[in-house]
Amino acid sequence: MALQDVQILIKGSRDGLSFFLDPHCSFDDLLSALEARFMGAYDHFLQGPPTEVHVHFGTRYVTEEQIERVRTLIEQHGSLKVTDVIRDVFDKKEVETMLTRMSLKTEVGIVRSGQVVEAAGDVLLLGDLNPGGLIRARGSIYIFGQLMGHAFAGVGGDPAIIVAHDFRPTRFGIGRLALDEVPRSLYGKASFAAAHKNRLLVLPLKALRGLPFVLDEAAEEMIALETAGNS
Amino acid sequence: MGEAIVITSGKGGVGKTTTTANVGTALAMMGKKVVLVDTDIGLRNLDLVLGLENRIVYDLVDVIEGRARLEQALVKDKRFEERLVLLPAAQIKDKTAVEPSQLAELVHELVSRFDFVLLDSPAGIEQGFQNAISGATQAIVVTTPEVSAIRDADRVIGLLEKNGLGRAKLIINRLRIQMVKKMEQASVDEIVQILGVDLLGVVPDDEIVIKMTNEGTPTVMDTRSKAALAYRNIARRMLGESVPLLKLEEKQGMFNKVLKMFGMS
Repeated sequence: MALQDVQILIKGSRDGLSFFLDPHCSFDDLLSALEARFMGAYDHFLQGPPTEVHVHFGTRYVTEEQIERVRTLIEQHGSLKVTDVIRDVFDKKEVETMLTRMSLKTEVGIVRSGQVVEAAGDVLLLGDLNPGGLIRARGSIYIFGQLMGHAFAGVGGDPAIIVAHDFRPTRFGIGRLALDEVPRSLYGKASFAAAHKNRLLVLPLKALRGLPFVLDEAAEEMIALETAGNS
Repeated sequence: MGEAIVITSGKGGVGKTTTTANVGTALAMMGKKVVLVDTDIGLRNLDLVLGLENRIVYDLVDVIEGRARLEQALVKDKRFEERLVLLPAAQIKDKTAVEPSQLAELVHELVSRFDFVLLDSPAGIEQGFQNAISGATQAIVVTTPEVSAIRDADRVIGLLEKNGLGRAKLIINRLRIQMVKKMEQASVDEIVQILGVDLLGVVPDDEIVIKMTNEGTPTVMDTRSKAALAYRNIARRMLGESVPLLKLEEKQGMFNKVLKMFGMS
């Protein structure tokens, strides 16, 4: 296939640039065509702050490695940053993992001392998590009762929250962040924990409605407090 | 057919044996046929609390290993016209001398002859505990208001649930009402809230229990103490009566009443 037959469509919008890449040609042809597009007319990409790029692969199946190659190619040709990859075709294994991540494990009753609940997705507990009990989830944790034990959400690094009707964990964490203390004003209240800007935040349940903006405020407040404390 | 009830706690020293002896005695006093089985092989002491040590000839392991017939090993308490019977543990063996299935078989045999089979479990959650729960169809968990005892009770309730003994009943032992008032000890409500099981009774901390236990007489035979009343109430609840919880407040003396009247207390 000749390079000029490879369809590469670039559209600009308020959010940045969208690259629609031909799903029908070979991957090598696609890379060469992309390279050729950068040679010449698009040198004005080189200046200024990075422009966001959304890459659309359409019905082409691409591996992680191929995505990386396209990303590198685009980013080395100017002040561009690939922020999103959109594709219609997924590997079966990938889809299965996605489905388990989306799954909700429901537990009814009390998770008692010495008991462990683990989940590849979210956990819904209709009952209490007693001291000495543990819930570890790749997704979020929702507790319709007292959270008194150990709760760790977002274990794989995915964004997650921990919600409880009565928030008083022994220790809790999201991703790599963990705390062994709840702000006194929220101890035993309906609250949730979320991670934002590398900080573990605890907020009243009402603030859930204000997601994600409340997290910015709360994180900034926390940072301000920290800097005030340091100076 | 009687009921086989295991009495357990996880933590040691919270009063499993004392509770078994007193609840069993109370049931016998109410006319029921009761057998108390000491499953704490190697650390037997239910016989001491009942004052029956000198009457033991054969024990539980002798029966299981075929050296004695069940009737020979049962020690009858003469104070209750043979309604209260003890099956003592062996002292020279350990927990591994018995398999859960063997004990279950034995309990099955006892259930056909008695109204209540109370199994006094050893502390811990290892084989001794597994043995004790193997033949039981119901469970009573004993705790004191200490955090460590409550935590272990929670663990044990979880294990009981896993073993098909899902509706365990709770006895809170050695409650000190003065400490609860000063918020130095967990209250009954707090304990029940955490453990999430039905409360069978609350036994107040009472020195008379220690004294009578040392003498080999179950406290419940004393008619005056609050602890004895608490044990009798527990027995009545087990027989299906609905008995309100004891008021554990100290009785106000005349002097204190007068002081209060003048706003001085």
